Amino acid sequence: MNLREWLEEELTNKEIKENISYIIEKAKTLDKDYNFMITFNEEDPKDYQETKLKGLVVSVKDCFTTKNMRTTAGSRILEDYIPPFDATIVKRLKDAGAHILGKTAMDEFGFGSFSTNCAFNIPKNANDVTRVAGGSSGGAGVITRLLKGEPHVAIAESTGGSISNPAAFNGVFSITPTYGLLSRYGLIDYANTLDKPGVMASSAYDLAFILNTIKGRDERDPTTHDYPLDFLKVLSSFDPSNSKIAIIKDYEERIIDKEIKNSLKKVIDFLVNEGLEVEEISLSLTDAALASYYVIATAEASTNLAKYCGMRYGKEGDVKGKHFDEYFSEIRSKYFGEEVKRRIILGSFVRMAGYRDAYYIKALKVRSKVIKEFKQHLLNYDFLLAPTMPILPPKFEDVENLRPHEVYALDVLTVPVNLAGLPHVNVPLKTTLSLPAGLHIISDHFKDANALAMAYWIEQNYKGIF
Amino acid sequence: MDIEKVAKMSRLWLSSEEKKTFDKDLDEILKMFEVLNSIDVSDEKIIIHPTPLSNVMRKDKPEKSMSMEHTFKNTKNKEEGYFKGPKTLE
Repeated sequence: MNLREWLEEELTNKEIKENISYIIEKAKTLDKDYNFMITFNEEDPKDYQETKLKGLVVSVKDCFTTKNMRTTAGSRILEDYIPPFDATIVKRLKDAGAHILGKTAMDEFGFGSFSTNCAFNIPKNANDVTRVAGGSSGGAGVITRLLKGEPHVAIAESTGGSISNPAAFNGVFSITPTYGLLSRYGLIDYANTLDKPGVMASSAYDLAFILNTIKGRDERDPTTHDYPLDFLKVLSSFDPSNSKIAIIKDYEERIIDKEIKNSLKKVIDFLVNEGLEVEEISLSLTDAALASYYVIATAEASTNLAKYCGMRYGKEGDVKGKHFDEYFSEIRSKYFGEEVKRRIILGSFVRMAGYRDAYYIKALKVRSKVIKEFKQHLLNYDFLLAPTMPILPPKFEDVENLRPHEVYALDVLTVPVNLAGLPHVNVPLKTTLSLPAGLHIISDHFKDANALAMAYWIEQNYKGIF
Repeated sequence: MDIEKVAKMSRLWLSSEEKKTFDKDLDEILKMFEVLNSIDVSDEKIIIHPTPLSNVMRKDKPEKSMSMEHTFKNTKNKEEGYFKGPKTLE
């Protein structure tokens, strides 16, 4: 039973509870082989019959706080943290009658592209356990694929591509909305001006349904915006025939794996055969966007992570007789992982007197230029299309020896659009292998519903969906 | 980059192995950042958020604070309604 059938079916409380228990057991069994969860919710299902979501099972990336349920952000330093409050998104889901399945595995604080920087479980790709799950929302991608056909959606988060990357690697639909469409209250920060909660699901319809439940202004997050549009209505009334589409040519040229190139060509041929206007554009700032992103993201992360110092919550030691410098350094050095230390040092450096103008300030100005370049094209086109990732999900052994800057460079197709805060949807595409490729549909700020509607139309009409 | 200086500022102790590794990693990453030098940003203003934001105010209404029990739930370093921390003066 998928999400739509689940909502349409008239089920008793007993039947709902039995279904939820079945999904929990299925997830627990699969987790033994795929490691996608950090913590399972052990609470019994409630009486959900009269609620909007009727006990829909939702997994939540472990960077969102969940009241009385362990929240680690994939880090040892938060290994025992039990939040006293729910993130706004979690609260809205619970209020609508969602059953929270638990917390999905992720790279520590979101720092990574393969989820191999998780301090606990390292998730394995849903289609091949010898391959990575993608990151940083790796667990969310894996469980969404494995529970395809069940009423389940995953809440994830993207700073530079952490939703699209695992969605493409595991073969699921995802949306990373416009910055500010979904509340960040209760999200454990990576980089405040870049962090965007989002959703993964088996269908674009499911994404639209959940966005209707969790979108909109939150007085606890002053960067949120109202979004009066009904996503489902936009999906049902969407007519693609008047859409102008552009392929980002230089993104296409950066594809490393031929399978992705072929899948992309096939879907573009389909759009052209359907009579849609498809042109090509070039973006001139792609490498600069990647550099700008890593400067800004690490700068913000280095200040955000200053709060983990062994006081109030998180791992702590004996404070007696210790000077604060010694105590803070001891706790942080002991419990932060390698990539966290690397990014804190980098982020501190780019903000230091003498370097700040050359790196941080310059990066902010480049960001402004990147946004202008995207928006200039979006005046002429409704959608920009691109491959989501340049590679198919790599094997664990192949990522082990990658240098950090080589890992960062693999984010080159997801980072610019995240830097610009533009909405983007991943559509999973078939390849000739048992692995998926990903198509990115990018639209202008707050045109999220249109991007999702285009994805839904392709899902309904194109035979090459993974 | 003076790794020791930046690590000290970041309240991190690094082993000699970590210093060596990070030194090489960060050199390579900073080389990747050099592309920023080639971009003319003389007409650009600094932007912090990608979407326009005006002042967002909320209603000034009293709300219940978090209980003491919840506030101190995640720490063992507490005493008589206060968090206990390390000393800040020698």
